[in-house]
Amino acid sequence: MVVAAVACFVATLLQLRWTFASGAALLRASIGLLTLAGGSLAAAAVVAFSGTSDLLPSSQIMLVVAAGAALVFLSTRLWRDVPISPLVVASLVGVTALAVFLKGFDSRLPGGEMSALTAVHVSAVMLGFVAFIPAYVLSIVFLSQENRLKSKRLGGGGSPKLPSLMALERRAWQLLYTGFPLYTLGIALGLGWRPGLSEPFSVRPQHVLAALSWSIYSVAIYRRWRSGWRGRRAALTLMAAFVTTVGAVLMYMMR
Amino acid sequence: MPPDGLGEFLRGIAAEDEVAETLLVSTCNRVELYVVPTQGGISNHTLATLFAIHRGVSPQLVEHHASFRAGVSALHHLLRVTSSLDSMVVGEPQILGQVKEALTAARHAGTIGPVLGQLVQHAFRVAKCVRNETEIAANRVSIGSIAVELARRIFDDLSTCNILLVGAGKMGETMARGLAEGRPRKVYVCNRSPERAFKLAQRHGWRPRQFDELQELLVQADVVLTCTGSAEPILTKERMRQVIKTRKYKPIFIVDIAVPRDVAPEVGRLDTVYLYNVDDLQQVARDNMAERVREAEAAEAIVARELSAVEAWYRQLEVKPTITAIRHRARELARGELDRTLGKRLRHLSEDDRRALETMLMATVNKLLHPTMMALKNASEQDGGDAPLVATAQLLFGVDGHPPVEVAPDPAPVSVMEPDDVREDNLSAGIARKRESAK
Repeated sequence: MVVAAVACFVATLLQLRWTFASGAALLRASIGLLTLAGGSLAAAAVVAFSGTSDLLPSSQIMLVVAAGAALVFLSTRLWRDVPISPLVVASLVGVTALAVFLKGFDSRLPGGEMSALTAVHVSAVMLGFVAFIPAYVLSIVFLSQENRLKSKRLGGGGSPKLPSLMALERRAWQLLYTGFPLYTLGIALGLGWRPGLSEPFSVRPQHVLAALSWSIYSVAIYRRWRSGWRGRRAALTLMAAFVTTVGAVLMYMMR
Repeated sequence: MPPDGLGEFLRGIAAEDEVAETLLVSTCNRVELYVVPTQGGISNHTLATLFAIHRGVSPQLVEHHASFRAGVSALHHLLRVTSSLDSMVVGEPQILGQVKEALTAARHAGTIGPVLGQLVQHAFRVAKCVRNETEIAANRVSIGSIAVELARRIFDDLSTCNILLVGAGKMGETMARGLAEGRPRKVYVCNRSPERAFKLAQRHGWRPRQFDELQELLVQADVVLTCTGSAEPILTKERMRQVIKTRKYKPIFIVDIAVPRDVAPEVGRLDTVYLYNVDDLQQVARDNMAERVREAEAAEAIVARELSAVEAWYRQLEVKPTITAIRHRARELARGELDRTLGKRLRHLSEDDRRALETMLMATVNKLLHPTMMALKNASEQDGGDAPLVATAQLLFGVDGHPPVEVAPDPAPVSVMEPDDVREDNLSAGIARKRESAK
């Protein structure tokens, strides 16, 4: 899982680099790393299901999902190459592998009872996350459309009629503005809820990921507010924030 | 063909003994005369001569440059023309409107009849099928329209955009006019020579600006067209970086038409800047054209499929008068005999009984005629028809309203004469027979 997470992390970086400076070598390297990640995850899944691993059942399921996603992507790529897809798959598979790996060392169930505060905390985070999902999809579509325009690969049909860049961007940010206050409320309630429990507060990986994702979203919104920030870098930042959020949510869910 | 003389020309052609119906399709690169001849038929030579006389040119000239199509070949050609498969730019939409205009002009001139009228309607239906079932017209192929399409992929609505034309060149003007059709908020023109900018702006109702206002204009403009004669790029990466920040990263679409380029290539790598030059636009146009050609293969298949249906309708015209005449004669005879009998020996029958008897008699007539009618209809669907069968049916049923079918040397039921195309003079006997039914 460590190999898979690292391979995906490097593949994501290579893909980000490729987004700004197209190059066949970058693409080949990132696909190679993704293949390595897919193979590692598949091997880890086999080990987990053979009974020699002490992974939680939810972690095992996530492991299979991540390995399956990587392998399905690699096999579909044999007949159709979608420009932004390696970036999306590498980042999501990587964050899932990381979450499964980190959760392997943290199998304690949360203490305390499900209070009203907890319910609001969970609901707010999940509602925020639900708003981030379409924003993430719109960012992918935006990058795909932007990539076509920048690379001037528009002729000859086959390119779907997508909404304009500005429309895609505007809707993505509208969703972000909707989801971010909810996400912020959820995290704030989570901070207030933890110290109230019997066990002492300790920083866990999911806390770090949640804080990281919130920080990325905050910076993006601040830059947007200050200077009207938008374009490819802004879209990639939103995607990075979402992937981090997925990692945090997965770690909360694998209990 | 000047539009004001078209009606007179059509009426002149239609007034000739050899012509029953006529229609003229005239575009920038084709003049096509469609003719349904009368019973006597019409030769290619006569057709060319008529065209030349009524157009006021030399018959030899017309005959030398014209090509002739007849029968199924002419039908096929009409369908291909209307579906824009015969156009210089395959899939262009104007031809459909031009054929519609031709039909309207012929209607006004009173030179269109049931045959050509129906055929052109068939052609419109086929053209619609081609457009709906293929992507033949989906991709733009002119540089101006591609620029508009690209702008629409970046901005929500062109009506909220400002356009800046830098330079007062002809190509820039043409492209700006194309973009201005999207009703942008403002169109600015700036040029090193303010007089030229002023004249150009005045011509189109745009806003002239001084060249030293360029930086400020770049901040306001969403679409920039550059076509100056500058030897060095006027839009550098550093300059555009400043512009992007000032315009708060709002996308900017730049079309560089100038040679040498007005915009440094590195500008295209800046985030939210979309830089295209003429070569890029031409590449998109070539790719789109190649796609249209690929789609044209599917369109040809549709035309071939629909041609069979049009042909079947057309062939029915050949036997329809004979079928109608036979049916009419049989019913007339039956009714005559019935009236005679009812008037004498069966006078005592009630109204209901009379009606029942009449129904029974007509049903018997229809049943007796049914095999003959079917045979004639089936014969019409065969390639080239079955002239002896039609003649035999006419003879056996005593229908003499239509003369026996004979083979004429080369006239055609529907002829198309078009210039600069392959000459096709091999008219078949089957085509000649259709001429009579078309009449």
